[in-house]
Amino acid sequence: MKQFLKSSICFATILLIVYPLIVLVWGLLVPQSFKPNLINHRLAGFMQTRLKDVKNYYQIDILFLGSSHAYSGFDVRIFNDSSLTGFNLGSSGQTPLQTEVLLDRYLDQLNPKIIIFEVYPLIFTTDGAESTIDIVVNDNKIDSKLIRMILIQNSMKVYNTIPYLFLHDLFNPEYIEPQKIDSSTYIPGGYVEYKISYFKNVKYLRSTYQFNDKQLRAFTRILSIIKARNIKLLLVQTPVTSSLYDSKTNNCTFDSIMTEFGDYYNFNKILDLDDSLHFRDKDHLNTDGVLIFNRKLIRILKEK
Amino acid sequence: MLFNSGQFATFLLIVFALYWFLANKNSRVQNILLLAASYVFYGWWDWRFLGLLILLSASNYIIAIEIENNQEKSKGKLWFIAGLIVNLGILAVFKYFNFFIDTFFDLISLTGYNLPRSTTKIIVPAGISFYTFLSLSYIIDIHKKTLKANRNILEVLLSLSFFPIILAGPIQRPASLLPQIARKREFNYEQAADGLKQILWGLFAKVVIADNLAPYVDEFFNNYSNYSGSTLFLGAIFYSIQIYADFSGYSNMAIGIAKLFGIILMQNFDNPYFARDISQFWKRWHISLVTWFRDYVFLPISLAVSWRIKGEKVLFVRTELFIYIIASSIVWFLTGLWHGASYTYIVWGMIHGFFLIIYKWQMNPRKKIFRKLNINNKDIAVVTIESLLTMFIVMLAWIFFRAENIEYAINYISGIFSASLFSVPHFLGMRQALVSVILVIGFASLEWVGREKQYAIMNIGSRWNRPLRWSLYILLVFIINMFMHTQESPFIYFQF
Repeated sequence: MKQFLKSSICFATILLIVYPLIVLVWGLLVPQSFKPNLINHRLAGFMQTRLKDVKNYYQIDILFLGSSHAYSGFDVRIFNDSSLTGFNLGSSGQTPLQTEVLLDRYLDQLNPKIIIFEVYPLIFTTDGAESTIDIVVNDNKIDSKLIRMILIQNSMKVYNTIPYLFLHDLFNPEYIEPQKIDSSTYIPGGYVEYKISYFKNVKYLRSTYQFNDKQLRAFTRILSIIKARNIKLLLVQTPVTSSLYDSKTNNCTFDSIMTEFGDYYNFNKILDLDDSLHFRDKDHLNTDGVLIFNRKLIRILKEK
Repeated sequence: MLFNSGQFATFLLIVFALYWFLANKNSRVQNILLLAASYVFYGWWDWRFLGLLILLSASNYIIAIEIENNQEKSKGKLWFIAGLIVNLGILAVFKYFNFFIDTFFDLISLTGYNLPRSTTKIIVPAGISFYTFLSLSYIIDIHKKTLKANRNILEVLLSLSFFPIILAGPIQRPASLLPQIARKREFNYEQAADGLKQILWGLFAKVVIADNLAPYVDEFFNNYSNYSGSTLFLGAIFYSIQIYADFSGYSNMAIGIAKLFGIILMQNFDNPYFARDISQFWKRWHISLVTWFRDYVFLPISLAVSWRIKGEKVLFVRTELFIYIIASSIVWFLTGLWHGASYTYIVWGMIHGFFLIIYKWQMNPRKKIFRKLNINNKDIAVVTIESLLTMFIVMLAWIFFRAENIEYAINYISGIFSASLFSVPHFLGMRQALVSVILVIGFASLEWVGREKQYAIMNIGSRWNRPLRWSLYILLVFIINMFMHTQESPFIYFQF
C-alpha cells in the first residue's frame, strides 16, 4: 500500500508539472479542430475594453447584463437620449455563472437603480466555459468568487485553458484590444455597434432547449442578490429571427420559467420585426432593429 | 453519480482510503464499509428505491436459506417458486407494468372500444434488470444445489448490491462473488495498478469515443428524413461504435473499480466487433448476460424439449436444430424484453435469434460447399467477408435498438437503402466529426492490438521502463481531457 501511495503521489506530481506543458505545445502547434477543449482565441465582444471602461461609471440608472444579445442589443446612447444613464456589462456567451462574478465585482461601484437582465434561452443550456475564459483573460483578477464559479462550472475547457494562457502570456507581450475590429466598434458605455444591415435568412431544424441546472441555480442566486439590494429588475428576451424562434419547441416553457422569476418581457412576442431587414445574423439585431427594440423598451420602462 | 463524474471520483477516493486504511481489520469491517458505500451510491441515484433494493436482497437472503433448509421437501420447491415470483414480480411491476397496460389498451382498441387510459406511469428504478438477475441467479443456484445458501446476511446483501455492478453489471453471479467477499481482501499493488489502468481505458472509451459520437447519432436518428442514405448509414455505424464504447467503457470501469477493492469481476466484452460470425459475436458481447440466459434459460429449455422428443427429425428439421430453434426463440425474445419494455427491443432480440438459427442451420452445408469448392475456411478474404457481414447484420439490428418504434426503424433503414446511399455523406459539423473518426480509428487500432487481453491496453507498456510507461498514461490522460465531450452524459445501459 505504501508503495502504491508513493507511486500515486509521484505520478500525480509529474502529471501536474508536465500536463500544462503538453497543453501549451499542443495549443501552439495543432489545428483548432484537434483542440476542442482548449480556448486559445479571444472572444469577440470587447471585454477587455469594457472592463477598463466600467471603472469610469458610478451611480448609473440602468445596468445591462447578459450575453452578446445584451452588448449588441442595448445601445446606451439611445437610453442616454431619454435621460437614462447606463452601462452595458454584457459579454460574449455570458451565462448566469459569469454574471454572478461580474455583479460581485462591479455592482457596488455602479449601484444601478434598474437592472435589465437579458435572458436568452440558449445561454441557460451551456456551461459558459468561453465566457469564463473571457473574464479570466480580461479582468486579470482571481478571487474566491471566480474560483468558486470555476469549480461549480467544472469544465475541462476551463481547466485546460487557464494553465495554457498562463504559460502563453509568460512568453508573449500583453495584448491590447483595438476599439474597432472588422465591422464592430466599441461604444463607451459597453455597447458594441455592428455595421451589418442585412441578413439572408435560412430555415432551421426543429430542436429543444435542454436547460442546465447549474445555470438556473446561479440565476436564482443572482436574483436574490438583486432583490436584497432593492434594485428594480427587468428580465428581457431580446428578439431573434422568427425562423430561429419558431424552430424551438419549448419557448413557452422558458417563458413560464422566466415569468415565475419576475417582470419578464419576451420581445419576440412584443415586436414584429423582419428577419432580413432588422437582423445582422440569425439571433442578433442590426442597428435598425436595435433602435426599434430600445425605443419600445424605453417606453415600457417609462410606463412602469 | 456517474462513473465519469468528479462527484464519483471523490466518492471513490474516500471509499478507497477508508477501505484500506480504516476497514482493513477483517472481512466483516471491509464488507460493512462496501455495503454502506453501495447504498450511498445507489441512494444518490434515487433514495426512494434504496428501500426496494434492501428489501429485495434481504428477501432473497431469507428465501435462499429456506430453499436450502427444505431442499428435500416440497416446501423447498415452494420457497423457490416464491423466490421467482418475488424477483420476477418486482421486475414485472416496475419495468413492464406500463408496457403491459399499454399493450392491453392497444389490443382492446382493436376491437373498437376505447377505454380511458390511465396517465399514471411507474418510474423504473435504476439497475433493476441487473440486480433482479443477480438475485435470481443466487436462488436458482441454491435450488440447483450448485451453491450453498450463505448464512451471513452482510455478505449476501453486499453480493447483491456491490456498487460497481449494481447499475449496469457485469451480472456477476453470487457463486463467484460470495467467496471473494467472504475472505479478507489484502492490498495488491499490481491488481490496484491494473484496476486504475482499466478505469482509464474505460473512461477513454466512454467520454472520448461514445460521448463524442452521441450528438451525431442523436441528430441523424432524430431527423433521419433530412439525411441521405449514406449519412444514415454512417449514423448506424456511429451508433454501433457508440454503444460498444459506452457499454464496454462502463464495464471496464466497473471491473477496474472492483479491482481497487481486491475483487475480481468477470470480463463482459471480448472485442465483439472482431467476431467472424454472429455466434462468436454473442460469445463476446455482454458476456455476463448471455451466459446468464444460456445457463438459466437456454440449457433448461433445451433439456426439457429434448426429453419430450423422440426421433431424428421434427417437422423435416433435425431434432438438434429443432431444439435449438425453440430454445433460441424463447431466449432471444426474453433477451430483447430484458433490455426494455418496447417492441423495438423484442424485434432486435428476434433478429439476433433468427440469424443465430440461420448460422446454426448453415454450418453443415457450408462445410460441404467449402470442401467442394476447395475454399480454405481460414482464408483471410473469407474471414474478412464474414466479419463484415456479421458487422452489417449487427449494425442493422442496432437501428431497432436505438429507434423509438418499429415504424421509425423501418423508415430509417429504408432511408439507408435509397438512391442516395452512394452519395457523399453530408451534415453540419463534418470537420469536427472527422476528428471523432480519427479518434475512433485510434481506439479500434488499440483494441485490435490488445485483442487477446481482458482490455486493450492491459499489456501495452507492461515491459517498458517506468518513465516510458508513465508517459503513455500521461498521454492518455491528456487525450481524455483534450477530447472528452464536456457535457456529462449517462451510460446507455443505465436505462435497462
